[in-house]
Order: sequence, then structure tokens, then C-alpha cells
Amino acid sequence: MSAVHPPTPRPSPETVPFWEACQEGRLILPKCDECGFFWFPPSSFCPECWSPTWSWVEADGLASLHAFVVFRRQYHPAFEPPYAVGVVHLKEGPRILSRIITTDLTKLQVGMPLKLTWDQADDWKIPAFRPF
Amino acid sequence: MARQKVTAEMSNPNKALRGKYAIVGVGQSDLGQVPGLSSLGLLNEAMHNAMDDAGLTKADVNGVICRGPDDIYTHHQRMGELLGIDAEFSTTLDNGGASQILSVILAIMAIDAGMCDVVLCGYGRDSWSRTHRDTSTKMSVPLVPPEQERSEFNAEVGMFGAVAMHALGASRHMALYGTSKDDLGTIAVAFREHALRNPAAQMKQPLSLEKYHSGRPIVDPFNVYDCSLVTDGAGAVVVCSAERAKDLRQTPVLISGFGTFNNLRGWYYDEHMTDTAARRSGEKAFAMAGIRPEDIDTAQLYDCFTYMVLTQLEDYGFCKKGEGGPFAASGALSIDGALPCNTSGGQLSEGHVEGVLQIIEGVRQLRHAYDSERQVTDAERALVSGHGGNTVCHSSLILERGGE
Repeated sequence: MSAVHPPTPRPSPETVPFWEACQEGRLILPKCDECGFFWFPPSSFCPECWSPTWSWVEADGLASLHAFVVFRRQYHPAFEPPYAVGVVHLKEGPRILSRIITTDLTKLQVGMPLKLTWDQADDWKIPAFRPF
Repeated sequence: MARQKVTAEMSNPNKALRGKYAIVGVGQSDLGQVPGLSSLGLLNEAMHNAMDDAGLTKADVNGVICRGPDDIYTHHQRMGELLGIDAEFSTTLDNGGASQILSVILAIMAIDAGMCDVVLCGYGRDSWSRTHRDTSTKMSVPLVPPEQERSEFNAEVGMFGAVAMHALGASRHMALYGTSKDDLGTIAVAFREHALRNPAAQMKQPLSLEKYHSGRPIVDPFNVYDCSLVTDGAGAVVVCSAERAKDLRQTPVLISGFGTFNNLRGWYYDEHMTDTAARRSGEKAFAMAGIRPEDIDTAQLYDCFTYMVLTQLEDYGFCKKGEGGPFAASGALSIDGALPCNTSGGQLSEGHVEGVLQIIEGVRQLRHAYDSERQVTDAERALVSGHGGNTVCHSSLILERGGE
């Protein structure tokens, strides 16, 4: 039997800088230089005002839980149920999909505050969030 | 951060098209476990049945619109080859479960633009066979091929499948409005009761609310009974002008309104999980048809999951936002209720063929094709909905019984 490998990201050219920053433990987001809008996933124009001028800005790692689910069925050998996945509303505005790391799945609640942490998948650092 | 939302104005529906086109033939394949046929073979069977139903031959068809691929590229070309026809207008759509109604809408647009006259629309899938093909290893094949999945921001956090995506919406609706598992359960129970009246339905056993609650957990808050079925099957419909329909075999079912809306900014954006694209798609269809939700005699709603029915009841205006649970729990959805809904059993209990069976059921109800136990009494108008493209695309059809 070969070892079980978790799914790892296959970055697109636009998202390579995001994943490189993750490997250094930094969550970065595109922020528009014109209108100040933060967005995700990364792309080459601001989706709000269509400005091509923008910068990578590090998120401060605070968020709230927009919605979540708890996997009870096993879909992948690397992910042993039960575990939680949520849509995380970052303080900066964008919402991203994330593992929700907790020792008590029954305490998860929509709207609860979350903080950035990191998950490891083979050689990859993957952003995750936990209640605090 | 405060910022202004930039959204284009809604365009006006073309009321001149109201009732100008009709569905004149419907057909389906066997449903459930049909191991002898591929997805294209199933669709071929459904298309032949739809043409027979209409009393038309292949010489009459000059348009083909299919959904696909699940696993097959350029469905429409392959179907034309199997049917032995060339076509003036032919294409494949890419709006997931919203595609089947969109194919009817696109057929109308094409005919009205003089591109063609008679359009065969349909969808087929072999989901059961594909996921059970290799029984020796008991490995299931994913319903969506890996190359079509997002390659990042998805599987690496443990996110897999459509069940979880829709369960996110249910979790948020529960938190915002107090929607309960009982509310979701009443939807599953109502549709199962309808399926027991439908000999073609996959599900043959009754479902009580108690049994619903004991269902195998999949992704909370959904258990197995919140999820639509894994089905081999196909359906097809024939669209032409209402004028042409007068000389054909069946009572024509007129298309009095249609609409689409696509929340392309995604399921996570704004309140899209609980205020779905069904709202604006429906507003458009109702405005075109010149009627209101209370004028609908039966609704055939896209029920990939129980929750999607609940939110559509609200989004279409059958009840207020947040009241879909109590509305469903009141018994409104049963065949003798205030809004007989998914009277074939729907995708939860009849079979999941990406919404095409919902169009067919709407047409048959308006033809008064059934005996009394399955027929919505005096049904004159039906709403049919389609939802998909990974939660963001929506399409609506309002059908009306035509003159004898």
C-alpha cells in the first residue's frame, strides 16, 4: 500500500504568489489601489471597479463563520470524518473556503469569530481557521 | 468596508413571446438502474419517445439543443449523429441543472429569430451505471470528472461534492431563520408520497418523518434523504410555435413566461446562499406571463437537495423569506395541498436527471394526462425551475394549458 496523500492545490498563474506566501505562513489578498476593494480568488483586474492596478496585502487573520458543514461520510482517504469545512468571512471582506479546526464540532455556530491557523498537506501549508 | 454595489438594471421581458411557443412532445427513458445504455443511448431513447409523443418524424426537426457533457464532449453533435439528422441550429449548454429549461428558452429564441422551426431539447445521464461500473473493487467513480473540478480552493480543505456545497446554504438558512431538520424532512416525505403514485419512480418505499431523521448522515445538516438520487435516465421535449402546435397530436402546453438569473459572483458572495438566483429569474418569468405566484396550480421545483426546494418557495414568492420551513411543514406541497409540488416524486424520489423530468411532469399535469390519484385537479398553470452550474445558475418556465 502506498501512503495516502491529501489533495494539494494546483495553482494557476494568477494564484502562484498567494500560495508562495502561504508557504511562509502569510495569508495575502489582492487589494485594489483605486477603490480599496479586497477580493478572492486572485485575478488580474479588480472585479469591483475593473482597475488593473492593485497590490498584495497581508490579511490580519480575523474572520467570522458565514456558513459551515460537517462531513460525516468519507470522500477522500486523507480526510477522516467527522470534520468541518466553512465559508470564512475575512475581516477585509472576501469569503474563502476553509477547514475549521476545532475539538468540539457541536460548538460551531454561524457568525462566531475565527482566527487564522495553518494546516499541513504533504509539503503544503494550507490556511485554516479556528474559533477563539 | 462601505462601498457601492454596481449591478446592471434588469431588462424587460418580451411579452410578445407570451404563449407564442409550445411544448408539443415529451419523452423519457427508463429510470434508475439501466446498465444497458450509455448517457447518449438513454437520451436517444428519450428523444425518440418525445418525437413519437408529438407525432413528428425526423424530417420535421431542424434544431437540437442538449446539455452536456457530464463526461462527454459536444453532446449535441453526437446526438445528431445518432438521430441521423443535420440541423440548422444545434448546440450544447453549460448551466448545469439550469440548462434544461435554458434549452427550451434558447429554442424559442432560435425559432423566433428564424434559425429553425422544430427543436429537440434533452439531457441524459448514466450516473448510476458510471458510479457502479467496477463492482469488483467497489470503487465509485466521481459524478464530476476531476478535470472539471476546481484545482485549488476546494479539495485541499476537504471540500468534496455538491452535497456539501448546498449543505452550506442550509446551515446558513437554519442560523438566520430557525429552519429545522423537520422542515427539510417534510419536503422529502411529501415528494416520496408522490413517488409512490408514480410507477416509473426509483423509490418504492414509504418515507415517514421518523425514518427521515434516522437517515445515514452524509454532510451535516444533510442526511441521505436530503439528497437527490443517483440515476441512469434521460428526458427530452419538443418545442415549436403555438401555431404549428394546433395541428399536432397532443394538447399543446404553451410557454407563457420564462426567465433566467445567474449569481455568477458565487455561492459565498452576498446572501446568495439564502437569496438565490431563483428570485430574479422568477420575477422575470412572472412579469412575462403577467401572472403572480398565487396563480400557479402546480410547481415542479429543482430539488437536488431538500433545502433548494425550501429556499425556492421563498425566492419565487410562494411565502416570505424565512417562512419556507413552516410553509412546507403545513402540507402545502402535497398533491392535494395549496401548491402541489414535484408531483412525480421529483429528483429526491423519482430520479435525478438534472431537471428535464420536471419540465416533462409540468407538461403532463397540464395535459391532464394522469388518473385522479396523480393528477392535480384542473391544473391550468405550472411553474418549472432549474438550478445548477454549481449553485449559481437558475432558469424558470411558466407553462399554461393550451386550447383543445
